[in-house]
Amino acid sequence: MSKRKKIIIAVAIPVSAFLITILCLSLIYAAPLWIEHYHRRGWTKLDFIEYQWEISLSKEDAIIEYNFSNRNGFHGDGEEYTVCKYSTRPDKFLENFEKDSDGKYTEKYNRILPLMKTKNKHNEYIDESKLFSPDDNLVWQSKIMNGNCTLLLAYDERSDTLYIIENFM
Amino acid sequence: MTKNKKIIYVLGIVLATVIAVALAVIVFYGGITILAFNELGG
Repeated sequence: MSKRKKIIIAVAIPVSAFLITILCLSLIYAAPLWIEHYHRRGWTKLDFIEYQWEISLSKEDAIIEYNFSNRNGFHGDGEEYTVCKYSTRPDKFLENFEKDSDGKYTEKYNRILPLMKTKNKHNEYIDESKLFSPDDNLVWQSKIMNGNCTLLLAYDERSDTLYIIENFM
Repeated sequence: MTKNKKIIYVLGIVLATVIAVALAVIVFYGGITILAFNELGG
């Protein structure tokens, strides 16, 4: 074997090993993301909320009117706000909702509201005209997951609108 | 090439390959970490 060949082999093998390792790691890292992406194609925001919070939403006759996210953190910390309009009232879905008789839902909403008003990574702010003011026409439901992530659902019986507030911490 | 030289040559290639694989792992996970922190900052 000539000296030139020996040098080429000595360089080619480690360089190939480097490139193959990078390629394999990329495939291993990306494969679950591709599978997840394939599984979730065609999902609406409501589907993602159901999956994320392990709840069941009424998706029939529902039109998503507005969505804002400022989940800028590395682990997806932040808030999401979704406004969903119903053409017919989903009575069965609303069975587990309750009036805010002791003010606990309003207190939660008022705690999250300033966080929702912070800008997102695209330097956008929430459209404040899409926010709601807690009143007697609202029925509420909430869920806490992973210790301190809060989902707050508020349904306005007057306008048949569901407000979905997600707070990820 | 003597037998000793051959062994040194092969061991050199094996060592270089091991270092290349370790370097690839460091570059890959380092790259992901840098990207993640850029996202955090931006």
